[in-house]
Amino acid sequence: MSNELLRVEHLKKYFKTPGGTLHAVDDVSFTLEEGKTLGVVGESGCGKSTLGRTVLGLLDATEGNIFFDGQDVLTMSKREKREVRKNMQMIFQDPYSSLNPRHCVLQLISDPLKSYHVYKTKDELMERVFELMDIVGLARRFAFAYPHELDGGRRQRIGVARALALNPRLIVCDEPVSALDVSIQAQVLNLLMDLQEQHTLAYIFVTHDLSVVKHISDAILVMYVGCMVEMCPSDELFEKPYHPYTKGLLSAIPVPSLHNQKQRIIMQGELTSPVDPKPGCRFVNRCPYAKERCHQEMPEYREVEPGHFVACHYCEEINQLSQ
Amino acid sequence: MAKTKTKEYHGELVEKRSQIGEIWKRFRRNKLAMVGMCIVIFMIFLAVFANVLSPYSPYLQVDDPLQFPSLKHWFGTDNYGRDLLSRVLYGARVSLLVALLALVISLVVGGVLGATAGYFGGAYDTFIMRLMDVLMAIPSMLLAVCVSALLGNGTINTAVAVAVGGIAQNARLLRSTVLSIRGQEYVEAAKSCGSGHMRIILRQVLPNTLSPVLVNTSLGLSGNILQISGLSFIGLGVQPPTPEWGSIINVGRSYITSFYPMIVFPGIAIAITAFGFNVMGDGLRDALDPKLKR
Repeated sequence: MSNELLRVEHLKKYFKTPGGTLHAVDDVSFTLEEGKTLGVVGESGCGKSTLGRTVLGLLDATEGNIFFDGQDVLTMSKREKREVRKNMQMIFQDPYSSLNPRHCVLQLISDPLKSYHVYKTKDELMERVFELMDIVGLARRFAFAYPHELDGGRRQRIGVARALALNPRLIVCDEPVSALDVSIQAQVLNLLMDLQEQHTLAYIFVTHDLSVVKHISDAILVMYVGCMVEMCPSDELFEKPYHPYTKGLLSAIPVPSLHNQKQRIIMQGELTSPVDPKPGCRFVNRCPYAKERCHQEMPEYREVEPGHFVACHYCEEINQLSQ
Repeated sequence: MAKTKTKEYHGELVEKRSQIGEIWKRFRRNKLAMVGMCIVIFMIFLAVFANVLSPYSPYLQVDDPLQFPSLKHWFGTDNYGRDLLSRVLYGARVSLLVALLALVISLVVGGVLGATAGYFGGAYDTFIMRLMDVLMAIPSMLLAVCVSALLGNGTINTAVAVAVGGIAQNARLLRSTVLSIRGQEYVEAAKSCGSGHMRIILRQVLPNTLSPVLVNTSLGLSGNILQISGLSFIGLGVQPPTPEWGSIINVGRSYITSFYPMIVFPGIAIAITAFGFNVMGDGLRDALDPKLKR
């Protein structure tokens, strides 16, 4: 049995807006084991990034529990939280805006080390920074370069090095490759996977790129307007998606072939507003199978098959599963 | 070449670039900025050594009043027969000192208020900014007059009086820049790296507010000099017979049709100083921005 590193229970994050309460993350639960990757997918604005940030404590959760290594993070004192947070780091989407343009590589990577006062002497600190640069494959001669002098891939490597500096056990990757060229995407993804192996890192991998998530994840969580829609092991999701939204999402993956064009499921209707959502399934406006009950009642999130969770009233009917 | 040190780490040579050296290197390449810096240094030099450089005492009547420039009196004499060159030289002391002091006060007070308001936001932000609105609503000259009347005359009091008008402007500027920087991802990154508020403000936010602040500051200096002279004119601020550029001009106003030196020479001094600071400020802003390297 591998050990559970992170357990999130009924996590909610609401924002107050002038128009009402925005349900950015609504009742999300999952567990993550040490050294594993959870992919979080969904379209823009569905709350994936907010989920990652709330788990890290960059945003305060409205409700719910987060257990890191068995400890409840949300009820901790500030000082305890800071210690736990050392083990949770983040890699940001945009390697341009996530690096302070006035700091050189050395300063950028040493920032977490300095703020936790890990090393006493400057030489030790430098040594560690150079070690980190080696780990992420950044040539040492860039130590005093500024981010704008480097290309996107190298910049993202700085971000990775910074996240690794404190030897974390969990890294939230917020679309770490979506701002990069495809060739560099692969490099960075391979780097992340190598690092996972070497340092037994757990990732929460937030992305909208399904081919990326398939490549890297052990399990995938599909979100739609703040809610969890489906969660199951990675391969299973691509083989037999149960939720109508997941089906639509997967059919949008481009196929690089002229002859084997597959039938796309084109979704009709509009996204439900996450501001003060009506009761009922969030997907109801776009769901081809929607019935009266879907308008009235929020579908429960249930285990349809072992390890495969779906939030849909008519999951069995749609997929012709025997109950 | 600026100083670049190479240092060995794990057997590999890494070019170590000192930051001040880099900034200086970039600054030096900007010819206009160098001219500005020379002017500023020259003016400070004049102010410091006014007592050595002046041919006469700035307070004593040495010749007939209202003489045009001659070899004996390079800038002529003023309405009391005092040597104008000496008065302009001594005036640099007062004008520069008070203007710079006022600048620093308004920058520090306004900067701290604005930066914290922008960073923390919420009720604190509203409170500070409404306070600044009140300050903004009063014309800055009137405000300076009020404060000056309240505090009394004197160099430091004059500086404070002039500074008060600049506080609101600086607070607004800092707040808006901080607001835009606060939303940047690198601030969030610093937060996730465990940096506290103080560390984020000092290391992430403030360095990035430098450009607008430097520009505003260097522009503000000339305005300050003029405002000080305005205060002197209505009898507040620096008192006669203390030589001060603005007050010399104000006195000279009465003779503007017949006697130009009292207006022109201190006027040129103000213009050159303001130009020097503006150009130097611009160059400094560019030099401090690592993006504009090479």
